[in-house]
Amino acid sequence: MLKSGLKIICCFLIAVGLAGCATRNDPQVHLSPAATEQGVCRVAVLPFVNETGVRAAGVQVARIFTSELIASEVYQVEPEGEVYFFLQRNRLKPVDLLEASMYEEMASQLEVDALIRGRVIKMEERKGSRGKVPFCSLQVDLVSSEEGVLLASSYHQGSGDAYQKILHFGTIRTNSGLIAQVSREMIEAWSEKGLNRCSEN
Amino acid sequence: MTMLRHSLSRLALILLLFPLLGQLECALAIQVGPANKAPVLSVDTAPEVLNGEVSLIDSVFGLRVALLPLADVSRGDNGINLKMTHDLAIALRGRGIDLVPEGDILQFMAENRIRFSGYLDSLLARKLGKTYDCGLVLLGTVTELSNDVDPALGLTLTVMDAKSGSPVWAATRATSVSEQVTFLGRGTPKGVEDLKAPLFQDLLNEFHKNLPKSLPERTKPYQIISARVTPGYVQGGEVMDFRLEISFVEDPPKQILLDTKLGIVPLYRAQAENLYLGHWVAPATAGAYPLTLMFDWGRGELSQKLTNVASYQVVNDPPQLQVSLKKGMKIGDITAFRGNLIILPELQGETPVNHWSLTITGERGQVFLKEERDGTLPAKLVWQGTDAKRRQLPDGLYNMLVEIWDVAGNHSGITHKLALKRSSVPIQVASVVRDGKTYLQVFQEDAGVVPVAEWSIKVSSLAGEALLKSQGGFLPVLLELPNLGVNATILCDIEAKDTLGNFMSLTETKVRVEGSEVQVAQKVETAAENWVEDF
Repeated sequence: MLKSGLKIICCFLIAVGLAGCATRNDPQVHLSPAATEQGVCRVAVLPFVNETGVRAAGVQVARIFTSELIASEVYQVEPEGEVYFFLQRNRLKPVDLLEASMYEEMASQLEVDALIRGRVIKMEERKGSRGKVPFCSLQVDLVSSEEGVLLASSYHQGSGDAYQKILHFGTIRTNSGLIAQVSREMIEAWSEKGLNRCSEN
Repeated sequence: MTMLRHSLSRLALILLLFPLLGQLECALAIQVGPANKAPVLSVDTAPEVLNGEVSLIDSVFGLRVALLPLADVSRGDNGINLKMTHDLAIALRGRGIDLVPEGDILQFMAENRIRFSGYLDSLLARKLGKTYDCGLVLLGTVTELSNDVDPALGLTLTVMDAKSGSPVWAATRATSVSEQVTFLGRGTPKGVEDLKAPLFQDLLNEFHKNLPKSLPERTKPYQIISARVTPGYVQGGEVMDFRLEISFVEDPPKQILLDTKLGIVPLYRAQAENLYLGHWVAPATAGAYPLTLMFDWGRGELSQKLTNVASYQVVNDPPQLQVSLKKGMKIGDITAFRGNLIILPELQGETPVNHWSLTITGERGQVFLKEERDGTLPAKLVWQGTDAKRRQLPDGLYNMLVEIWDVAGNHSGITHKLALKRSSVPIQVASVVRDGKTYLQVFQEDAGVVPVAEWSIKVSSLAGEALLKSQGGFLPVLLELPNLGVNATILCDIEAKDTLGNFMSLTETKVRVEGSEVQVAQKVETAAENWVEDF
């Protein structure tokens, strides 16, 4: 009787310990048929559009996303400087929306298979179970080098406490850490969907 | 009882291990090294950070790296953080990495007009590598720097291979004081300064473990900043100018040549740095002429040709212009209108228009209106029958000339004859005797450009007796009158509408029926006041 009581207490403690673990959303990735046929290896990341009102969030996310893309060792990434060089040469502002013909020209000059454009939709602090945690949501698209056709559209959001493991451990408490995590998951999701073709070259 | 004691001890053990398991999870989750108190960075103390990482130092010892100033987004889009750059430099040197001196880096940035940090194009990375004999270029951005309630620091580093100019390694790490939980709270960091060391350590450990492999050298030793030929469209025989702005990784070639399809034009170096110019005469034959660049590196042969760097077109034919008119009526070679005339110019061919004009002149050549602009010809123009000061012009005949000049300077023009008619043509009625019968003749005094399309007439005696009622289309017309005797007078009510829709009405107009002589009842001048315009 006493033994079974202790088992219940142990189970209760484990349950309490795990209770903090929040559920995580997987990235939503939609690929066009052309994306899986054509595949993507060499990419360039365009400046991200900042819709958050947070200063320099576009640069912050684009740079972290690019870093994760390089770190993944799955894609060949054109230097960010080449993208800015193209924009400057064509007298375009980083946040200018490009026309389809411009995507094609840019991809041709940079010799990439696809261009990555993104929007930082939300970047804020939200109240978690143990203090404030960061929250962010990103929309990242892959645009083909041919006529600017949309190859992949992906959306992902994450909250710092979604990565909580036991008690408060594992919770991501920095914006940069969360953006890196969300970016990494998005890039992994692309590969899982069969977007990467570098290994075939 | 023993059983109970045993169970309680197991429970106590679980409770004790729980937080320790958490510590382990924490260390794994944030990927930051030992949780001991982070030392303040300095050349002397840096090796302490590398406790237990001697083998890693060996793998990068002597590696020559160019560290560019770190960007700092916490200070805005173009923020820069020199203090963090210095701290990172110390950590790198502490690992035995040979850094290009900061002064050289700043000089390179000034010479190459680099007014940004955090990124670099491949040509500049290669140039940096060649200039300072370094294999890698290290760029970074402070992605987060907060001294708030929970101080936080984020850093992303990117390594570019100086041979290929491509990024070969990158990592992002971030941490905050609340993430740096230590056992029993010992050595917990207090602020951003305390977070730097573990963050650098983690990033550099990652760099050591995944030391980037060198990529093959890029064959393209230049970067075209701009290549422009002016004018883009030209008539045969005109002088062409070519302007090339180009950067080279190392020394520029001995000569840069431009293949114009008609011959080779050597480009000469302008006073401005990296600027080359060339001139030639455009061929007489119309067509598109792509330009090809060639570099003479002084090795006896020309390098691979760089095709289609720019192109121009020789256009000798005048632009083919068509102008159609709407809301007017074509009568012979004249277009008559009463209100607004819609002018629809249409250009055949693809040569862009540089300039256009529209001129309205009178019959004697006097200019009433001239509209001219640079740029594309509008798809639709409206003339309201006014002059340049928006005053209504009188009814009459006008000439409209639409002219265009294409970007090559070719000219084309089309003239249309116009008739402006806002009021109906005056109508006259008269009695005539032919073959002993009396007729009423209805006719337009001046047949002019715009004919009457509909008319109706009622004739009555002075006593009010209805004598005749008729209607029809075009004029003139003869209507037989009943026998009224000599020197009778009749009253006519006439309504008429011309083909443009102008309406007129004459009521109780007296006509004297007199023997064999023609009696004109209405003169133009007197009738004019009675015209009624129908809008």
